[in-house]
Amino acid sequence: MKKITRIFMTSAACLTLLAGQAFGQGVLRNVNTVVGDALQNLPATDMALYDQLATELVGTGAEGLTLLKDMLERQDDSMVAVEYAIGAICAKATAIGGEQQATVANLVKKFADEAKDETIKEFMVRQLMVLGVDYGEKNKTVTSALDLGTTAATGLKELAKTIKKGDKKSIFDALYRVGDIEAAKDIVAAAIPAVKSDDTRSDLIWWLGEQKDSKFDAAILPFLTSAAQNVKSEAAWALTKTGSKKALPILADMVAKGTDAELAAECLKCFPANVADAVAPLFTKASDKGKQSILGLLGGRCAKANKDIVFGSLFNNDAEVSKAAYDALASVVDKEDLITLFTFLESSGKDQQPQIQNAILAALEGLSNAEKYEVLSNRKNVVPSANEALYWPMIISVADLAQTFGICKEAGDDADLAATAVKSYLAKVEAAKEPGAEQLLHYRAVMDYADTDELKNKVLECIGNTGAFPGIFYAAKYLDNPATKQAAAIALRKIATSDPSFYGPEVVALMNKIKDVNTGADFVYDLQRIEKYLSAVPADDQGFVSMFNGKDLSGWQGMVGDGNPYYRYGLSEKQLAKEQAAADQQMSASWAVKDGTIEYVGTGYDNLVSAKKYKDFEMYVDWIIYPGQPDGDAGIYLRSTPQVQIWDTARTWVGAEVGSGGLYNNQKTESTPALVADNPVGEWNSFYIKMVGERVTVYLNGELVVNNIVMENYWNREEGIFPEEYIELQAHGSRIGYRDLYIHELPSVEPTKLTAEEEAEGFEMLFDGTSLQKWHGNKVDYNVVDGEISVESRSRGSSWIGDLYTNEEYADFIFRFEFKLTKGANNGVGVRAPGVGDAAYEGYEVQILDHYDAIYQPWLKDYQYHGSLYGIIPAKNRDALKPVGEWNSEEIYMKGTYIRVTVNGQVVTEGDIAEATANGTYDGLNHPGLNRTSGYIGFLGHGDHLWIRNVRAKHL
Amino acid sequence: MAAFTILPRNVLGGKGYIAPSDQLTKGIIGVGGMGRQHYDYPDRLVAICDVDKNHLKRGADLAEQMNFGKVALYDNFMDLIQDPNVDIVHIATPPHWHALMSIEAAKAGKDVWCEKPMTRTIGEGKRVVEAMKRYNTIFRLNTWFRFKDTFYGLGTTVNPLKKLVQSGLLGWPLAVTISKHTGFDWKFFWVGKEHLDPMPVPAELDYDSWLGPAPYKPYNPHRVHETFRGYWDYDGGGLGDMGQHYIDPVQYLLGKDDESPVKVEVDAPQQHYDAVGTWRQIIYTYADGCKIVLWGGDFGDPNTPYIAGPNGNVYNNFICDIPNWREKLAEFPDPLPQQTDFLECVRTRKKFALNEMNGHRSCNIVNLGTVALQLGRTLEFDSEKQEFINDDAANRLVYQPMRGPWKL
Repeated sequence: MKKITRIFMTSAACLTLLAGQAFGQGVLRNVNTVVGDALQNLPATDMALYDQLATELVGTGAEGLTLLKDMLERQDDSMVAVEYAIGAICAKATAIGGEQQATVANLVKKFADEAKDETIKEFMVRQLMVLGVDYGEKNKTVTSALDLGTTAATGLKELAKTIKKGDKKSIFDALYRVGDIEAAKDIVAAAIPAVKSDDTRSDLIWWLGEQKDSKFDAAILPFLTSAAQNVKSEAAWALTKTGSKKALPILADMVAKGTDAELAAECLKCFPANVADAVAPLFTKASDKGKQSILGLLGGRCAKANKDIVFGSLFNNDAEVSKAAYDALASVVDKEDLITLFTFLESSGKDQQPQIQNAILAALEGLSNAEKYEVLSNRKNVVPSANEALYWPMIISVADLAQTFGICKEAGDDADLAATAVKSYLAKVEAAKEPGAEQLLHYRAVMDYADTDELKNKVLECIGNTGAFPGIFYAAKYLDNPATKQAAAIALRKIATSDPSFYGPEVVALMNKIKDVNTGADFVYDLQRIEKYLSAVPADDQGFVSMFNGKDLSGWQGMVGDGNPYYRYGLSEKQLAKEQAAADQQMSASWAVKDGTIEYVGTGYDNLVSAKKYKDFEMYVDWIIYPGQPDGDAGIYLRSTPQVQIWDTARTWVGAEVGSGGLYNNQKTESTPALVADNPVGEWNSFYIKMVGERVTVYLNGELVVNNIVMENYWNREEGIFPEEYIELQAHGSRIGYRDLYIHELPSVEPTKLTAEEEAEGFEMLFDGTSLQKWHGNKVDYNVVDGEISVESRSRGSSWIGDLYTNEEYADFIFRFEFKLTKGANNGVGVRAPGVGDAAYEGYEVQILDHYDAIYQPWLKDYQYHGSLYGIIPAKNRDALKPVGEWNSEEIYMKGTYIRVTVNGQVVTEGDIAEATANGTYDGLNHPGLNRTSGYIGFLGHGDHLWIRNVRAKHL
Repeated sequence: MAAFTILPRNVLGGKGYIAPSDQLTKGIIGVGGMGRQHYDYPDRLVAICDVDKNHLKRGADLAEQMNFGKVALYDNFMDLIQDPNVDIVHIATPPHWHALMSIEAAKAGKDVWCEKPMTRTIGEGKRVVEAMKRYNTIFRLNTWFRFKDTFYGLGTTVNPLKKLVQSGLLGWPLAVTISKHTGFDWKFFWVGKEHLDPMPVPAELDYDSWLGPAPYKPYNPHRVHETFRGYWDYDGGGLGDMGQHYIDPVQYLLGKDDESPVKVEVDAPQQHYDAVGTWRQIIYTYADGCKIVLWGGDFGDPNTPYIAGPNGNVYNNFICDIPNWREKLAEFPDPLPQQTDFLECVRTRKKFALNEMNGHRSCNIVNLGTVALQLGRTLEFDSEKQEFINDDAANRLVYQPMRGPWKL
């Protein structure tokens, strides 16, 4: 099936392929295989693939559709896929239209007619809707024109009569249904003065206002001064909606006089005209209430031209007017008012200060935060020190993260300022939404300036929200102070429970310890969470342990030789002990522990080496490049191999601008990090490093910079990475600090070994569960996971990158492997393959297929069953394959033209290729690879998920 | 907001206050989770109806707890509608019932308070609009963001956005993006299962009445109650559930209460004929070039503005990138107040802020999406006729058949 499904690299690549007939697929496909491929790939997840599959399905005409209908009637496992396929045919045929639509429609109609099963009938009727066909629904009711009786429009005479005599509901009913709106408006306008009740009058004015027709402004205008409040109100709103020029001065006057000021002011807020110009001239003579409203309107419209009124009213004798002026101040000021505002601020009472500060910030509007920061700082620097405090809140509000940090640092003894700055910093870090690991570094840095317990608790609260592992231990430091222990306990509990992988003896000890810390109102719940956490800690896995006790270098040793493990391997035990002793001596000279930090204080290249060797692991480590050195450079060696890179990104002459975290010495696989996530030199950084098998993942400051990349063996490029070796902190001559080292040893895969017989017979292990070193080709979709090759299911429609082949070529051979399938999965073993092109034709393919799946019934060709030499020798035994989800073992024996395929101990295919093809190929197609006598062995995938393990081979 | 209350109170003058005996009453059809929320709305509960006996029992218990006094219990919605004690019919059933019940209530002279989405098809919505006009019904659709409350993840109410949009400062046409990145969750957990095994109907449920006008399909608990939104026969998944909440305010912002988009484009996995699936993107385009863009799930650019215009953009939390925009905006009038007290509307007979007309238009946007998703292609729509242009197939989904004896 290789040749068929390969087409499902949708998109341009595939279409080109089809058009070019590079592998002849276009001519090889029959209705059955088109349908089968569609069933395996529908529902299409993207539109391009959908278009392609649906078009192909439509192309199968009546034959394909009938085949699918027959499958649908079975109502077995294939049903959903079949529903998608028929749905695709109907929708696509409709989009194409013409004869194809008619063909499909007629057929579906026939299916609907003939359907005995209600569900199938319903399905077909639904498809007819998609096809735009009215099925007539003999037994069903069809939506038809609404039978609501005649919707009689209100006649004009009737309207006039209703207005005169009707009650509220009938008047509205008449107005809603009125036929001739234009004429109705005239009738309503004429009726407004005449109707007796003010209620009706106000309803009519409302209705006329809804028409938003300025033609009737004059008719409504008189009612703006009506004695009836409801009439006046509707008139005001109606005239507001049209923006009546004549109403504006009247409304302004209402505001100024203070009678109906609230109604008039509400209207003027929505009035589409220059309201400020209308109300400003009335200010002097206005009542106090009117003045308040006018100030509100001037503020609301940012009436800068009238700012004198606002400034002039700040000191009004009426407290409410003064307050309204202060409220409006920020809306009318400009940069030119800054000095005035500064002076006001420095001389005003405490109550007005916030409003003046707002006004100052408003006057600075239009400048960047950096510019605002400068203007405000400059002012602060020239005022008497007693007044500085007036400027700090504004300065902090415009300061960026670094500037805010600077203020925290400089606040010194000014406790208020420090508190404001630290709180602002915490809020800014939170708002920046950086990854938790990076936030933690910020919070730890600002903790130095949190001088009060209250502030410390605030920082701890923030730390609790980072979900960053090292934060557990950092928070724990605050458990000993009674004033901070509650916050510390909550913070560490929150982090520990934020990720199920956060466990280890030290974390467990801390969680037990905080059981005694009463964390306040939620204590009971906290306790429950702690108990739940403790009960969930795995018993069979130690979890994270500290690699550094914060005090000395126990657990570490010096580096022997230049760190090359092969050198060490060559030493006798005695020699090694001697060299190790010397190295340890050197270590104490080059490395020091200060304040919980391991610091390199030497000059050479003598790494700090873990005392223990590690296989698979995940670890945390913080690092810092101290400032003031031109060549900041370090790294973390994994399994004694350089390295997860650390360097000063300013060193562009060595290419450091790509950032830290990359697998620096990789040559074949990616060596640069995905993005620059470094903090500036002089600030801490946080690594999370995970190594499983030969692959490494690195997060720097919470950003994924290395995503599951194979780490190469720097010391011997021909070999893969060591399965087990030391972790080393690199010394590269620079002053570097490391802290917070925690490591979790992961259960690692034991390499699968050849059996004694296979060993004796000369088999070679090609995949032992650890690496794909003996393979080339697609190592992206063929992934080593838990000791198996997991063939990833590509999201359907994304292009399939290719096959996975042995590095070595095989002529006559025995090839053995184990595999496990998912439902309907399709793959194949390419043998004597050239490594490019379609192995089924350019070499040979031994089919891998879950041929039990319903979507392949009943049409699968005999040469497509599992184990067949595809297109050449059909498998005779179709029962040897185990059901989906169980492991199968398989052997392919090939010698000269003889081939034998054995599945789970049963021979399924056996024959002589020369004999089988003597009179042409079984599938009647051209197999140019028939004359090949040697080639690669490979797995030929097309996007289906399956697993492969224990792969070995022997040359004959 | 003060303006909203001024108007009706003044209209009613001094005699506008209603004695308890004059209090407007409601009957609720469908007292599942949603229907029971309607207990809290200010009209007085006098009747409930449900086709699930357990729901009805729970509804009755709750009414007792809340001291509503005597509440009539019905299992047939026509009985509730015809109950003379009921002034306002609340419809909190799945959407495939909304149109039928709204129209029946209107015919009986009742006003209607209907859950969103307003109707399951465009055709049903047209009928509701006609019927409300024919019977002079005051209709309210139950979403409210165009006139109150902080608008989901946007960090602002809609009113100031409306002011900014109508000022023209952003330019024209505008594109509004509704996605996770602008603060909206499309609730993709409302997906259906492609294959449901037939199961016996539980004794408490009148399944035939639950289905009503929907095609007959064998019972399975996943079809009904909390999970019905995952099936095209009754709703349209997360788009059906949240669509009008999210889209109606956008229609208001753009001033499109009287028109519909002329084009809808979808990017989605193929949809099953029965089970609603997910989608990546749906784009609606109006005749003047305004667009509404929906991104599903995590798709889309995280830096997308909520409103993008030729002269400026607005992001979450009302962050606008026009320099000095606050100052510039202040020169413009505020948006006009809206009629936001439904019971006042029932008394004054003035249309509610979100009524059958603009509600139908915003529901059209939802249903344009569900049709395009089901057909998997771009569709062109006639905003006047409210039909797809030269597209019989799409129009079959505009006017979908009902299972007898139900019809519109």
